[in-house]
Amino acid sequence: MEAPEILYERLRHLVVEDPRETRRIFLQLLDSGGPALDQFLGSISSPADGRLRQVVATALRNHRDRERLAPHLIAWQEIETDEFTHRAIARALKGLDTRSAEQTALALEVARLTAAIGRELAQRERLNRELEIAQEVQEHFFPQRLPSIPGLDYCGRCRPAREVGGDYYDFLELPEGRLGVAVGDVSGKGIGAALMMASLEASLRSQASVGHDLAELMRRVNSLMYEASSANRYATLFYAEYDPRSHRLCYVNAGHNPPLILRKSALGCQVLRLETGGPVIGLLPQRYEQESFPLVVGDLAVLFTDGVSESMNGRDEEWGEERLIEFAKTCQGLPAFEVMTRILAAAEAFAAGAAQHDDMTLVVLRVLT
Amino acid sequence: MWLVEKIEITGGFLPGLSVNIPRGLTCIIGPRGSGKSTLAEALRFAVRGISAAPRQCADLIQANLAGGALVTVSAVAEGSNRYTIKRSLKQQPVLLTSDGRTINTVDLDRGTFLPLDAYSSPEIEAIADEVLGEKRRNLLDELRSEQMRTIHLSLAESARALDTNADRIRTAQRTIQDLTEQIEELGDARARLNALAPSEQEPSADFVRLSRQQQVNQRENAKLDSTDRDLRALERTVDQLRREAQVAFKERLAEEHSANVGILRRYDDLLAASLGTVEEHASAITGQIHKALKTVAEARQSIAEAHTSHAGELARLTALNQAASEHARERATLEQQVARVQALEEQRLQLNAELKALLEKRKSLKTDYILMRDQISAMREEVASELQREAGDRVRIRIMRNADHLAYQQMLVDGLRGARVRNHEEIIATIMQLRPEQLAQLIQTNDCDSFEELTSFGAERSRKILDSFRDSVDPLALEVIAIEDRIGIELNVSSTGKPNFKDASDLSRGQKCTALLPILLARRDSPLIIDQPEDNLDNHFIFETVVNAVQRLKRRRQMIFITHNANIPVLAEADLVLVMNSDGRIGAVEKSGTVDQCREQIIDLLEGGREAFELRSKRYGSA
Repeated sequence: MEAPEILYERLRHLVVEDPRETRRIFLQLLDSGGPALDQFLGSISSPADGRLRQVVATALRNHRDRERLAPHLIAWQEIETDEFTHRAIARALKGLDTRSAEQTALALEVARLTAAIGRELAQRERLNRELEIAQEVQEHFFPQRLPSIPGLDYCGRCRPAREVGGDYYDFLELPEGRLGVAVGDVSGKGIGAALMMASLEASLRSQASVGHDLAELMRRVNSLMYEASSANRYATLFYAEYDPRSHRLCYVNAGHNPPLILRKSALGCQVLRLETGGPVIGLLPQRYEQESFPLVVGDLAVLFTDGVSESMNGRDEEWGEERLIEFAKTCQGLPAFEVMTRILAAAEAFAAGAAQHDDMTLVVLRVLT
Repeated sequence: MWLVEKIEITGGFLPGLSVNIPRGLTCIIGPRGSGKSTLAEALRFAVRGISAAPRQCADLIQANLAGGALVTVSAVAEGSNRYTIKRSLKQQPVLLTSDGRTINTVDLDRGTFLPLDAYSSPEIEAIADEVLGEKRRNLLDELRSEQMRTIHLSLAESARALDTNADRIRTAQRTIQDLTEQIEELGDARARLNALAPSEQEPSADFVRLSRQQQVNQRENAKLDSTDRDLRALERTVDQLRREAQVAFKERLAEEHSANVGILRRYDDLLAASLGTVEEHASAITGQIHKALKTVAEARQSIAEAHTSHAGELARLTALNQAASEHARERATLEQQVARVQALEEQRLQLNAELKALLEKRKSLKTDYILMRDQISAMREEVASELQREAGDRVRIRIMRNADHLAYQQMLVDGLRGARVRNHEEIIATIMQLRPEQLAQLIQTNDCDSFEELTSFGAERSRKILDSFRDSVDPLALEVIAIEDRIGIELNVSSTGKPNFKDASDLSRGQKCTALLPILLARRDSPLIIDQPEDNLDNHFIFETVVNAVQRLKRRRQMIFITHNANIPVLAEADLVLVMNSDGRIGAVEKSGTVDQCREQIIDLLEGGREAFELRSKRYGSA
C-alpha cells in the first residue's frame, strides 16, 4: 500500500472522478487495517473532505465494519456539513449500540476535539498555526474549577512551553467527598500529543467513577490507550484518590516522576516518594499495583512533571530533583497556592530566561486538618 | 466603506426635504403615512434604481415621487472623494464628482460602485421563509461577487462542454444501437453463404470486389460529410473566440473617477493594441479553415468520379449475373450482404472506440465541474464563518452542503415509477445517501452488485430498481444535476442555559427579524437601510440581540432604521432621530436631533418608549 499522504491526495480527486474505484481502494485499506487506516481516517475531517467521508460511511459492509469505525463516524457526525455524508453516516450508525461506555467516551472526546480542531484548522490552514491550536486544546483540558474538599488545600498549574508538550493534570470530584488527582506527561509534541492527552482525560474520567480499585482502573486506562494510540506514543500517569475522612491517599504510579511527600518530624523534614505502580501507559497491555498511603496533618505533597525538575539554564544544567526538594522544604507551612507559585518561580529563576523545551506542570496538596 | 452625507427631495410627497445623515445610527420615527418609508425608499431609489426594490417598495416610489420629483444624494467615499447622485423617475440618473464633472462610465444600478443594502420587512421575512432557494445563498455570494462571477463563468463553460459531450455520447450510442440492429437483421448471411453449395459458375472476383468497394465508397462519403461538419464547427468556435477576445481586450482597467486613471489608461491602450494581432491570427485560422473546406469539396468531386465509375461497373456486372442462374444470383446477393455486415461491423468498432474516448473525456469534465461547485461551497463556508464571528452567538449561520437537492429527489421519484417495488419513500431515502454522480456511475456500468452493497436492498429488489433507473434516468443528466447548498440561519430561542437553535423559517415574525438582522448588519461596510413598519421584535430578550448588534456594528457602517421599537434608538444610542409627520397631503421632518432632544416624541410615538428610557438610565446612569 502506498504512503498514506499520497493515497489521501489521490483519493481526494478520484472520489469525484470514480466513486466506485475509490470505494474499492478504501475497502482494501479497511481490510489491511493497521496504522495506515487510522492515519487515513484521521486525515479526512476537514469540511472539504465530505465526499471521502461519505464513501467511507457507505462502504462499510457489515456490523463488524461499522462497529470498528463507529468512533470516527460519531466524531464526524458532529461536524458534518455535507447532506449526503450526513445521511450516509446516520445510516451506518443506525442500529449500532454506541452507548458502549468506553467507546462512546473516547469517541465523543475525539468528536469534540475533531470538531474544535476541524473548525480551527479550516480557519487557520493558511496561517499554519498548528502550535497555537495544540496549545488551546491543551488549555481546554486543564480543570476549570476545583471541587472543595474539607481539610485539604490544593491547586495545580501548567505553564506551557513555547513548543507545546503533552503535560496533563486534572482534579476529579468523586463520590463520598473524595478527590481524584492526576498528573501525566504524553510523549511527543503538537496536535498528536494533545489528542492523546484528550483520550487520556476521557478514559480516565470515564473509568474513575466506576470503582475503588485503582490498579484495575489503571489497567483499563492503559488498555484503552493502548488500543487508541499509535505504536510509538505513550504517557506517564500518576493517579491518586484522597479520602478526607481517613486521610488516606490511594495511588498508582504509571512511570511518572514519583511525587514527593514532605513531612515535618522531630528529626527535621522527611521526604517520601510515591513509587508503587507499573510502567508507562499506552505501550503494552500491563498490570499495575496500587498503594494506600496515610497522610498526616501538615504533609505537603508535590506532584510535578519533568519540565519542572529538568528546567534548564543557559549552560544546559538541570535544576534537578534535589534542588526542587531543598527548595520545597523552605515552603513548609505556606498555603498551597503560594508553594506552587514559589516553586515555579524558583525553577524559572534557575533557568534565568533560557527558553524551556518542555511544559512545566505542578500540583501541590496540603493537609490542613 | 462610503457614507450618505445628505439627502434632498424636491416635489412629490416630501417636497423640500433636506436632511444631513450622520455616521452611525439614524432612526426615523413617526406615525403611519408620515413618509418614513418614502424617505428610506427614495434613498434606495437614488442610489440603486427602481429595479433594486421589490414590487411594493417600487410602487411606493412610483406614487410618491410622481410628477418629476428629484432626489439628490450626496455621498462621501473612501479617500474622501465626494459624489452627488441626482435621480428622478422619468430620467436617467446623473452621477457627478465634487467639481461637477459627470461620470458616464458607471452603472449605478449594478450596485458595485456605491453598494447600498436596503431591506424592508417583507424582504427580510422572505429571506427567513425561503429554506431552499437562492435568497439566502445570495446573502453570502454577494460578499464574494468577483470570485463567484469568475467561478460561475467557468461553470457555465464547463456545463456547455458537458452538454456537447453528452450529445456526442448519445449520438454515438444511438448509432451503435442502429448498427447493431442492422447487423442483426442481416443476421446469418455469413452462415447462409457458407452453407450454399459451391456453384459451378463462380461469380467473378470482380463482382465481389466491387460489392465491397461500394460499401467503402459509402463510408468515404460519410467521412467527407463529417470532416466538413467538423470544419464548420471549428469556424464557429474561432468566431466565438474572436468575439470573446474583443470583449476581453477592450476591458477597461481604468476607473473614470479614480486618481489612477492616468496610469491605467496607458495599459488599456496597450491591451487594445494587442487585439489587432489576435484578430490577425484569428483571420489566418479562418482562412485556413476555408481552404480546408475547399480541399474537402475538391476531394468530394474527385472521389465522386471514381464512385460513379464503380457504380457503373457494378451495375454492369449485376446485369450479367441477372442472366446467370438463380443459384448464382442468390450467392451474389449473399456476397453483397456479407460485405455489408463487414462494413457495418467495422463502423461499429470505430464508433465504440470513439465512445470510449468521449466517456473518458467526460470523466475529467465532470470532475472539474463538480470540484468547482465544491469550491463555491467552500467559499460560502468561509463567508459564513466570517459573518458568524460578527453576528454574535444568539444566531447561527451554517452551510449545509448539497442539501438543496429537490431536482435529484424528483429524478429518483420519476425513475422509480416504473419499478415494481413497494415503499418508494423508504427506497428513495436510502438512495439519497448516494451522490448523483455516484448513482449515475452505477446506472451507466449496470453495477447491480455495488448497488446492492451500498443500499442493502437485496439482490432482487436491487435488480428491479436499477433496471427501472436504467430505463428512465439519463445518467449523463443525473451526474451533473443541479444541487445546491442550503444556508441555515438559526436563532437560539432558549432563555435558559441549554441552547435551542431553530431555523428562521420556523420562527414567529419577530423572531425572524431577530435571526436575520445580526447577519444583515454584519454583512459589509456599506450604508444599510432597515424598514420595519411594525414593531415585530416581540420578546424583550430577543430585541436585546438586535440592539447589541446595532450598537456594536454601527461604528463600522452607517445605519438608517425605520423602527417602532423604542429600544433601538434609545438603547443603541441613535446619533440622529428624525421625527416625521404628515398632514395627509405631504409629509415632512417635524423634528430632528439626539435621542434626548426627541425624548418626548419617542415616548409618544413608540411602544415601550418610557420603559426604554428607564432601562437606559438604569444601565448608563444618564437621565
